[in-house]
Amino acid sequence: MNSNNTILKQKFEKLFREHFTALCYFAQKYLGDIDSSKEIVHSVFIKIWENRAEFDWDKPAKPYLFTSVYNRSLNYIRDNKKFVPAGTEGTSGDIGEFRDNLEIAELESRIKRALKKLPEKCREVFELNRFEGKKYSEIAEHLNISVKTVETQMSKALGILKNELKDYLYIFMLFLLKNIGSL
Amino acid sequence: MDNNKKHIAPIELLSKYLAGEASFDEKQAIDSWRLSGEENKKEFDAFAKLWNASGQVSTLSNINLDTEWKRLENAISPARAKTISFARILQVAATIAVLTVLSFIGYKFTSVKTEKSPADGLSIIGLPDGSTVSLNAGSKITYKKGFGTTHRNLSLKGEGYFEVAKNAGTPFSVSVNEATVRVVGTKFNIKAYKNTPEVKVLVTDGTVKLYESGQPQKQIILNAGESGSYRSAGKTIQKYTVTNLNDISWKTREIVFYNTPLIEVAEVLSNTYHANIVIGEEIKDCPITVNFTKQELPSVLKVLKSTLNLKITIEGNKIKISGEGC
Repeated sequence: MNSNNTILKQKFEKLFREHFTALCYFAQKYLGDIDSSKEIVHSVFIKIWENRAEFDWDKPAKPYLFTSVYNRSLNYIRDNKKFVPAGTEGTSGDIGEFRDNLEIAELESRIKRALKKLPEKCREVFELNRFEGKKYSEIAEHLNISVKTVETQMSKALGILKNELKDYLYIFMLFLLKNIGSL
Repeated sequence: MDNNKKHIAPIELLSKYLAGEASFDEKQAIDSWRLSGEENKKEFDAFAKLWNASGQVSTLSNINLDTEWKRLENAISPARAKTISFARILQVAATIAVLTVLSFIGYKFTSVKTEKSPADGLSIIGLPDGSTVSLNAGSKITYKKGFGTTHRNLSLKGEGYFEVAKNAGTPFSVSVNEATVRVVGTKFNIKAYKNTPEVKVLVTDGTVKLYESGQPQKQIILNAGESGSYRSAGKTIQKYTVTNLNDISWKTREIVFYNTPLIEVAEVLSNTYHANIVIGEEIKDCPITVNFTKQELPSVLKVLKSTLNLKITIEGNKIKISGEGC
């Protein structure tokens, strides 16, 4: 009983670490703020743990996780009308939107993780361009390097990110098709 | 020809293309590559997708999985489960039997929970309501049973940085000495060590109310970036709109000194690194301007030493800094 629980706990932690960030970013697309998004994702995981005896640990959990977070987010918006961020009032339960948000949230969480793997200089250059919208020439001047070096670092960054995310960029959410019915 | 195009590894050009830095010729080369064949198109789309998404992540908060996992673990830990099985009670009883009778009574009837940090380090504690507290060295919090469900009141001794989960229904309140800090969902630091005459509150996010316990009508409201203090001597409450970020450097490890006298530097460093730093009388007013970001104490000391030509000696648990004056 106890060792069984330990194994479950390990599976549970793995599930949590794998999906937590993406689920939070996903909820944030509906709620607008990260704190309530985290609360909702936590509540979904607590629920899984409370029902661990009945939970199917061998089935891919991703569809369940995202649908649960989605449903709870919509309930949260309904119950806290005044917190509805601009632009999300029309959230209608559209499947296309759900799929897009899921895909983007997962991609964002992977990119966040992958960015940490870039060499320092490379990341700096990449972030100056992508986050701050600086031109190559501006970055070169700012860091006192040549434009050619900026080019090299940029393509290096893109190459590393692409490699880190290679399993991910070509998969188009096949699993979701099976779960549309439960929305 | 087509075959050749497929084998071009255009990543240098691709990043230029996506960044809008490609020349006309380069742009044309990429365009003709991506339009020749399904495979190339797929490859290009993957890059474009990556590129677009990477521009958006700067606005997303960083999520610390270790902290979040700790929080979740806390929320699901059996001691706090609503239903407790008989086997669990036996297990708890067996554990407690080896403790003193007094602590048994304490657990059983009042169920006060205490969380402490070690004397020389921080602890991050996940509370049952989803909030987290970082406790500075030698600090502790206590709260009664039902925290997170029927109430969110706790008391603090020492120093803690709170990140409070939103819950408009149940306000979160912290009692420190004779003061109370009350919030809904926010981040703030409270400093109230035994030997200091005041309770200092610094707010980094949201709004908190500070008042003498039992006197909520005399509260002051502190917004993000503001700090406030309660002095038990005169029972006075004061608000400051200027915040000293060194007050939370023990958590952030970001330290800023601007013309700061060494005596104050020693105080900040002692609090940040849980060290006992003593400054010699002859240099205590010497000012220094320097920033430290996430550095360990030895490298900080090294910088001070070489900047002001100081002498650093270690005697027991004391770090003595002396010099010839400035």
